[in-house]
Amino acid sequence: MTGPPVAGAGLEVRGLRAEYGAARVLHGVDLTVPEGEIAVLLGPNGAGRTTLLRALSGLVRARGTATLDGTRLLGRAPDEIARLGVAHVTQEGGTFGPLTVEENLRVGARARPWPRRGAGEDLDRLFGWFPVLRAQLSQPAGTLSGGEQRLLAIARALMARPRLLLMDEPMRGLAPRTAGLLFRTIHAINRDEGTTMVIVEHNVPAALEVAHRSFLMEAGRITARRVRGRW
Amino acid sequence: MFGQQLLEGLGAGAGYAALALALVLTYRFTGIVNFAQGELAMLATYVAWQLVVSGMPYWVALPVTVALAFAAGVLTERLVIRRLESGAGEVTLVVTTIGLYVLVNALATLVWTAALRAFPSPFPDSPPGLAALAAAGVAGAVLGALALVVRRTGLGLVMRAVAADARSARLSGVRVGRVLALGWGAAAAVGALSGVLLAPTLFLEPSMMTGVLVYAFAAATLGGFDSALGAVAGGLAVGVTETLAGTYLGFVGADLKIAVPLVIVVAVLLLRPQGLFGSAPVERA
Amino acid sequence: MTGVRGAALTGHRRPAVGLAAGDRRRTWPWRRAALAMTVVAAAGLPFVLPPYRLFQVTLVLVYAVALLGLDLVVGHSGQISLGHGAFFGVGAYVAAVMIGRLGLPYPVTLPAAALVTYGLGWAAGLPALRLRGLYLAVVTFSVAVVLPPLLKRFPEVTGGAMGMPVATPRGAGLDDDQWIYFLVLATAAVAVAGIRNLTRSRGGRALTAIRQHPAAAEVLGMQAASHLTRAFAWSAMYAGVAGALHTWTTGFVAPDTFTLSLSITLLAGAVIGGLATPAGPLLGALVVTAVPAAARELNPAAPGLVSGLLIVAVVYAAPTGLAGLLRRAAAAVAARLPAGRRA
Repeated sequence: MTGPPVAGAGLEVRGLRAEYGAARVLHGVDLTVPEGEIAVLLGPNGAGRTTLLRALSGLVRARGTATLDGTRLLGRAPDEIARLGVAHVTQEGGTFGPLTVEENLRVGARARPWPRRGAGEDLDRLFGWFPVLRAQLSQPAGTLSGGEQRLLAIARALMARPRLLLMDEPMRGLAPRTAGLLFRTIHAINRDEGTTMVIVEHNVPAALEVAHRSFLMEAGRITARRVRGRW
Repeated sequence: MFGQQLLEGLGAGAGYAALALALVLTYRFTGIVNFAQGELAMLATYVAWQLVVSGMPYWVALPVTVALAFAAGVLTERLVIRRLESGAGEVTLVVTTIGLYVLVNALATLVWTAALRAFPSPFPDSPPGLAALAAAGVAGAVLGALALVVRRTGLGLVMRAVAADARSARLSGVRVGRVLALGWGAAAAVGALSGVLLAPTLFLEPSMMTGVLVYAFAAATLGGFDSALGAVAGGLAVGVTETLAGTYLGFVGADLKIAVPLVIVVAVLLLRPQGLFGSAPVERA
Repeated sequence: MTGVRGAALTGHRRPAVGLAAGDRRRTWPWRRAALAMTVVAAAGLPFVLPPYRLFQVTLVLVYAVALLGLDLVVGHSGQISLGHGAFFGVGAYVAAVMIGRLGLPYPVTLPAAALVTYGLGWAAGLPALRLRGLYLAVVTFSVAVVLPPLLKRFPEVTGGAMGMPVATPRGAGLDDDQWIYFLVLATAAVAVAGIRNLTRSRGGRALTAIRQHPAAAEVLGMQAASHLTRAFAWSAMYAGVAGALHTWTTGFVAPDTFTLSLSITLLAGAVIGGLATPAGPLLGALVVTAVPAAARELNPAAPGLVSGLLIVAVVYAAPTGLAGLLRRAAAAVAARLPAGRRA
């Protein structure tokens, strides 16, 4: 039950197949995420959710079809896909340890299409969502706590003003309060910016609260879909 | 007398520092120890010599050579390094640079023969201590400019990001391939600087940089293989130590000065493997 | 075709036939026949070849012993050594000094060279092998560059830069070069057996695990370092023994024979011959002795050019080296034979 596909807008995936060497991980994934919606990928470990995100951001080679607003995603290098407006926050986080918080954010802005507007106003907006980062602007990212680094990674992804934001277990290892704050922030960003999001999460209740639609993934396939009304 | 020795040590140390910096640059960007770095520098030095004896003034030949070396470094990364499979093991990578080492050395021998030559000094009438100091000054200026570019510009920012985490940089839209090519170009340029600075004190011959490479390895190890500042500081330290040991320690003399860097390397690895300024974990796996 | 390999060629498992199913009829014993032929050929060679050719063959065997050792480090342990030329040189000089300066009988020099280079290998490997691979490369590189000046520094012992002639072993009833050939051949045979034992032992299997799975190295922790150090010391010993054999064969040592160039040549030989293969060291030794000599005819710089090109070509086009290429060729030939022969 994917709903009527909005022609061209949003994320469309058809028959996505991917493997690591000889091991096939994705066996033909179909899903649609209309523009501006939050989709959550649930499922057991090893189901291929991380691989799906990697296929979309170009880290893993895949076959089939995947388009964002009609633009082909497959078969491109990761940096090209990033410049097309796809931001991927990986499980490992991916902050640049020796660089300061501010420098991390400035790197994130490199993915923006020309002309790159002044980063100043964007930084202000980001600090509105992640106030804890403002206090540590000049600190090397490697000295931040794990949770703060996660927030920094997400903030860096947002600096690119992405059309599609992919997040792999953003709440993993976060203290419950920080996790709750993060989810409220994600919800606010989606509401204010209209960014389409695909989130892989284990925390089912919290995820279902923010999700417009959710997909259950098992053994490389989507086995269940659920759509909620917008709120 | 001691002051003279100190200056000479600093002058030589500047040359070692430059080559050590070249090594550290390639290591930080691509994770490869480029054993051919010295030979590429040697090739650049021969090119500089060729330009000078063909009539170009020294201070024009130097930047021209450095620019040519930069281009050569970019080409090397594009043609040789990028072709290596991304999963290539350490052995494959080092062996490839060794292959380059042999090739470049043979190329230089083919074109210029193995005959010893003298490289003209930019300061022919000054005492050697002053010339060394001037050489150190030039090196310092260039390295300082490089440091400025890396620290303050957008390009430098992106390079540092790639050095820290290439995959995340890719996901942030950075054209990592170009940055790597740039890194190798910069390393080759800095290496060329090393060769040209040291050439007046060494004889120009195809194997002139092999010894320097040993000093540069010691400098990079002492400074910490992932620290640019460490490479420079290490280079100066190694230069001074080597010169003083050669003069004041009888059994070392002039012939065994080359053993000094080996001693330094073993000492650092036993006592403080990450070097003076290194931060990354150095233990196996 | 049976079993997994048969499955790989035909796409599925076939039921066992022939020897695997208990068929005990005599089939042609390829492997044993080949081994016997090799032994006969090797024993007969000195009586067939002229002295200079025999000398060259002996040198090939000497380098093969050194490459057997280097292969233990590079092929089996996955580490880089740029200093095996130096261990080779140390072994050569130990033998030369013992025979030439101390007047000792030549058989003693072999264990002496082995002992000294084993200790040196241990000393060089210990600080570096706890750490990332690049440090072993750096240390061995430095050792290789330091050796010739060190040798030249003590001319009273080493004969200085001009080198030192040394009496070569003599044997009763045979010409000198024939006797030396048999000595080298015997040592090489022992060396081969030694390597086979090492690689099949627990230590050897640990090396393979470390090489193929970095996670295994992490789990083994400090034990990985001690496995690698021991393997490195053994490999240095092999190079030292080969060096002593080199002195026996050539009757001369000079510092400039054992430069960094030699270390690089050995590494190139190991890679080109084929890492971690039984035939690799021998093929590599052939390349190492034949190619530079032939290339030098053209131009003094040619050996370097050819070697460098060969290295790069092997890395890109034939990572399994000559041994791998030959094996693929043999498999291609075998696949053409009628099915009955292969069971």
